[in-house]
Amino acid sequence: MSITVSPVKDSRGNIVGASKVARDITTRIESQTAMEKYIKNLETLNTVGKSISENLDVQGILQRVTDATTLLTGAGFGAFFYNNSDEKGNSFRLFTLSGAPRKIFDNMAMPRHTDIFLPTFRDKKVMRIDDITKHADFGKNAPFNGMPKGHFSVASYLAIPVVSKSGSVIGGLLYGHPEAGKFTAEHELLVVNIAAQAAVSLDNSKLFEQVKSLSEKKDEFIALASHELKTPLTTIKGYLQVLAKKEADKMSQLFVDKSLYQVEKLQTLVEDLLNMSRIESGQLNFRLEVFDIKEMLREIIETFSYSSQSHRVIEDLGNNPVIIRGDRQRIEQAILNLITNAIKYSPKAEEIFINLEVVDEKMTLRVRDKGIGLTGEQQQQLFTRFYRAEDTKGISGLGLGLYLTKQIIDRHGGIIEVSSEYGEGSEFSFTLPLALQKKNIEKAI
Amino acid sequence: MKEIFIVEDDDGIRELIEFLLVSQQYSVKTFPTARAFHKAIPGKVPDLFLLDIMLPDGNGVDLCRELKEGEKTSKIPVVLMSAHADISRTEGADDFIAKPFDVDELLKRIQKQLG
Repeated sequence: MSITVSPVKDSRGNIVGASKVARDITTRIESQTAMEKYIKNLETLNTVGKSISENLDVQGILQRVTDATTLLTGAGFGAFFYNNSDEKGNSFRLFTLSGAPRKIFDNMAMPRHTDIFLPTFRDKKVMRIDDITKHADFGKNAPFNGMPKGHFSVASYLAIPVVSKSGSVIGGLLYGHPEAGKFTAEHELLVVNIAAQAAVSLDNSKLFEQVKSLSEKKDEFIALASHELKTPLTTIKGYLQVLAKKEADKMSQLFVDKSLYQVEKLQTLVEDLLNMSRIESGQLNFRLEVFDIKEMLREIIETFSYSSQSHRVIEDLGNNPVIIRGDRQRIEQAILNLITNAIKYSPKAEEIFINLEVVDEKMTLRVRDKGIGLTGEQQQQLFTRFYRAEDTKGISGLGLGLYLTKQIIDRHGGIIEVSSEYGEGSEFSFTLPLALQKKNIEKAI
Repeated sequence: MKEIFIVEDDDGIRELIEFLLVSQQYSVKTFPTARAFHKAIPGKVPDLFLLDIMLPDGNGVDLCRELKEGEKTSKIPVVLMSAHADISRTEGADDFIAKPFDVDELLKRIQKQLG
């Protein structure tokens, strides 16, 4: 009750009496309380929402959800049951529990597909019942015909399905209270909201787990595959090396050399696979030395001109040595990758262009082809692992070459770039810092 | 004539190495499994063991340990071979050869162990 006393005045302003007004303010207090509760709920919702969306571990998500909602609803206990079936194919699995000691449930049969649970776990229905023991479907299913012995006493019952984006019921949040009529429409709404957020997090967490496990399987597979591939390679390489040393006619000698060359290529492919997994685990090591990259290019081009029957290499390497500091073998691998690609992806062309240039203490190598070219989107994804353009079916490759090339150039402090027009050909270029020139080294000393 | 025992499960590699070593005037005995090798060990011991690491019924590293602990075999050089990427240490052996190997390299390493 609220009482207001106001003075009663005459026309001249003199107080002549007092009026008393009494008001019933129950509604005001109720709405104030409701407002406070609403704010509190909102805060809880917010905290729970934040913590579950930041969490990728299933146990953590579900425990937070169960704890928070049990608190919000004032339930005697709250639990999340997985919709997993056991060997008998008919029960749910208790996963998290709040408000009651777990051992109460330890020796108890898990809920099954009874008339009470089915609507939630199969039909995605929210069940809010004031007194479950008086419900028409209660106690209809053998063997317990109701709750099993020793079960936490439940009158008020609230069950809310947690539904995955795919539409399947991941599980259900169940709440119980020994007194009847404890759960309100507001409770229901709150838990439904939290359950929806939890479902999203659980979906994400599942995806994350799947990706992680796939990635691990892939690494195991690579290790296994490289081992299996190296075994026959060892024998082939061995016999070819024996043959290469034998006196033979020119043609046989040439064929053996060609075969050995291909075997080396095969070995490189297998090593690429291994290098990739080493890069992924941060175990790729470099052996740095100072050398003339122009000289290296000359040798590579010479080998290509000798072995490639399809393409001519048109070169412009300048007149002076180009000295860099790097891992000779890896740099050679990077160059070989670019030249092989240029030839591979320009099957109808007859030439590729190689250009070496020095500007401002940096060298730039360009490898240009008149091949199939690349779309803008392809250019963006080109350097990612396993990436192969969709229209390259029929052109062999693992999708590792450019990935490894970029890793090598990056690790040498260089930059690799591509420019291309679809259907017109591509140009790949990389820039590396020059090693200190002799004069500079002398100066430095 | 120096004698070498080879344990290698892959037929191709086993025959290749046998051929290479016999061409170099070594006497060679080959075993495709750890079991076959175990049977032969109580007999006359060789001058060098060449062991593959991944075997269908065992592991070259374990065999090497047994040999190094064995009274008759502890002083005999052991060379391990593997195509497995993660193994590149000698694992208690006297040398390690990665597959695929260069023929000359293999022979050079074996020669070195035999002094």
